[in-house]
Amino acid sequence: MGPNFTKFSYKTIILLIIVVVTLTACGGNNATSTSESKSLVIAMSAANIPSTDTTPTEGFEGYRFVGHQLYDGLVGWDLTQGDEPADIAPGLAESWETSKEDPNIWTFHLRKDVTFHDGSAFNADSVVFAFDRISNPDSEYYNASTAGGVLSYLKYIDSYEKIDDYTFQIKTKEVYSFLPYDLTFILIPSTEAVKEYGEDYLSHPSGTGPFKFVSMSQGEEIVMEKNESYWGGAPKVDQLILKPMPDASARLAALQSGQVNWAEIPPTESIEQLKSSGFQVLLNDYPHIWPYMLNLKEEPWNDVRVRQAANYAIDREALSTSLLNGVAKPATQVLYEGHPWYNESATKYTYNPEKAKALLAEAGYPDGFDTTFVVPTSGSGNMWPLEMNEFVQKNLKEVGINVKIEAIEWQTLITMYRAGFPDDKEVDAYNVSLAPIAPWTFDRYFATSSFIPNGTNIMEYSNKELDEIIKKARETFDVAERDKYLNEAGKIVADDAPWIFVVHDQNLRVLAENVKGFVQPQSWFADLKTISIE
Amino acid sequence: MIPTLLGVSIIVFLMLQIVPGDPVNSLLPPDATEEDRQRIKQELGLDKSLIGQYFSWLGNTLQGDFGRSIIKRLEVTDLLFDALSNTFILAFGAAIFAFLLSLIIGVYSAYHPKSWIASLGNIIGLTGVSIPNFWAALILIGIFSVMLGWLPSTGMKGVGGGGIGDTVMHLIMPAIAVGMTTLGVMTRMIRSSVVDLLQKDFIITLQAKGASSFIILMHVLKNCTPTILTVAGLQVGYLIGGSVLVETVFSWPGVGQLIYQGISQRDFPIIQSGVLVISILFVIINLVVDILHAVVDPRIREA
Repeated sequence: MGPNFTKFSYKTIILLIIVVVTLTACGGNNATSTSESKSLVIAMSAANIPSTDTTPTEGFEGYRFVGHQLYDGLVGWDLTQGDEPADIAPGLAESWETSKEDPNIWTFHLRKDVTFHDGSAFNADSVVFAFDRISNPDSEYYNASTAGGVLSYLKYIDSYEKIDDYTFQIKTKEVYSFLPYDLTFILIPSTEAVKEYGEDYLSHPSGTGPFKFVSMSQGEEIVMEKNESYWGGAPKVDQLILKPMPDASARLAALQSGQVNWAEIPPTESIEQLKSSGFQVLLNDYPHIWPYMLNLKEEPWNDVRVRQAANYAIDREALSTSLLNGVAKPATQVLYEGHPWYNESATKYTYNPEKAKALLAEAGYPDGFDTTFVVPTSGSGNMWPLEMNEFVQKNLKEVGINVKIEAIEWQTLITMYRAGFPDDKEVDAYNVSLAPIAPWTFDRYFATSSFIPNGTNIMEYSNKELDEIIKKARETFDVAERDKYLNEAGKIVADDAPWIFVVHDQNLRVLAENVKGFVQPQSWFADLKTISIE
Repeated sequence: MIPTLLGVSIIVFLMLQIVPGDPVNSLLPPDATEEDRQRIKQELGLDKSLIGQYFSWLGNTLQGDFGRSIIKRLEVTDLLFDALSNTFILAFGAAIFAFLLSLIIGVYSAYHPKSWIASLGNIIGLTGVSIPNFWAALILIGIFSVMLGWLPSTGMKGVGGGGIGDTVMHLIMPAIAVGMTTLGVMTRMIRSSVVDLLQKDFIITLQAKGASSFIILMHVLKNCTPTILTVAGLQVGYLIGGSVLVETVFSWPGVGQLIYQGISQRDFPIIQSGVLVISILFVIINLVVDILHAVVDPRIREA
């Protein structure tokens, strides 16, 4: 039994492995249609079902698939086209204006024909209730968990009040033209449902959105049905089913076997195969940036030449095309080319190791230096952090910057990141992806007033000229003028390079062949109303 | 039993305190400020002292109240109950698959060491314990869901589906993936203990007395039951607590997945109570195995 047998089983195993691998590799897909033709079934990349409350968990994926489907804000997003960055659009407020005498006073005119999913009517009282619930700790229905998700969007709001049943007024603390963007995150729940269900509201959420809540089984799925009387036009599909599937291969398998007809971010290696078997592989620009935030308080990163050198040292083309199979584009600024805040005349960080070395030598580091980057192992929007960081590490090594990568689990990292650069530990940069989706981007990430703990300018980057431009942008109500300022801000930040800009994600998602009518917008969010299944 | 469980709860609690990270992060957007984090932490009462937190948890738990999940904001008792039921379904499927198959293959290959089933037993014994089960899970999905389209690859029920048949279809692959290791371990163990028994004097005596092969098989089985029970008992524990990766690959909403998510979000009530409940199960299973030993083996009863 001994030796012969071992030999036999070895051979058999090897043979089996070869057979299995070949079969898997050649495997086409022969089951693309779902049995339920009118359900849109989505494989989310989130590990958990996002909270059904007005501030969803699981980051912007939570807003995309749950928050914006169950609820509306006073202001919404226009996600109907994919050629330009998505901008705001009227939501539960039909229109709004600021007072001529006092630009701090905003008046919102509410829609009159809207009812919540539970049948109760929407009016200014609903809005006051929603604001009390997240911003007034003295209110009976104040909820700290819900408030947490929107605190940063309430920062400029001084007070709010009902004027009449369909008019609502907000007073800001200072002149703040970005307010409507913040309001897209403040979703309005049914007052009656919140009062009736109390702590169990999450199992009975009720909003005004295009889809109504049906059921939820933890770890498995959440089911919604279309809201026939949606004020913005009823969705074309009958049901929306969301399944949390944190494993990319599992999402791919579910899509290929027809159990879902929409998958977020399948493995990039599968793109070609998916295309050839008829799936719709969607990519588009959207406000996403994968950077390193540098510690500007200490040497060597306090020297702009060193920061520019690092920016010149990275081969972004190879990173985007070879490593990431085209699901990312090179980033040399906060925003991408074609975006109004992308500045054409800013320093263009092409791949130029010679220039990088020269800049380093000029800054007094002809032999380079050692530095430590803290990076995540996973997390929303962080793409494929380990592979990408190793790639950057190699690039930087070529110019003499020896990066020690410290990979830290996401929750630990985000806690560290919020607290800034520690004094007792060597950290020279954090790698955290961000969403520059609104005009406050430069204000929050780069303004001197956003140093910790008031904001997330953890680099402690400070530029007086930039601060003034940001202030002007914040105070102008003319969109073209605002964009002109923010475009200038884009240039200053690119030239000063408080970040190493690496790539912009391209929002990879794959839809089954029979899912029609979806537009991939330049946004983190998505309009599911227009989708039909044929 | 009580000291064990108390010890487990203290260790888990202390470990959660050492691990950096904060449940509040899962409630905040990535660009929220440190100031926001501190404020919400305070408002949710998560800034209390260590000992205070532990005793308030213990007090509530003793009254049967596991509290609410910080992130999901649902009752931990409900969450755990659902997840445990799902895990039991998976563990039960895996146990049936592994125990039955290992018994058949193990005994048969002990009797017929040169047969192809014995060779199969060898392969299973080797691959079962050496192939990581999440990898086996992916291969199974590749073949049976993607290529052949026979079995569903995710969840416990199909879209709009339901019923036992549907669940069984969803159960097949995860049960095989989870049960594989157990199958490998037990096939080897059963075969070697049967081989061993077949050479024992009492079996040779039985053969000499002309007992039928069925009678002999019964004697063999009865004598290897205590060994099988011990290993099976340990394996049941593994099947309940050790299927985290497989649950993730198949999106099976079991307790492994629940606790794993709890850990990644630092959802303390889920982790704390989840680990406690699993520990209780372990202790109970061991107790049951000990009792069963006494039932099937008169030698232990008398001792």
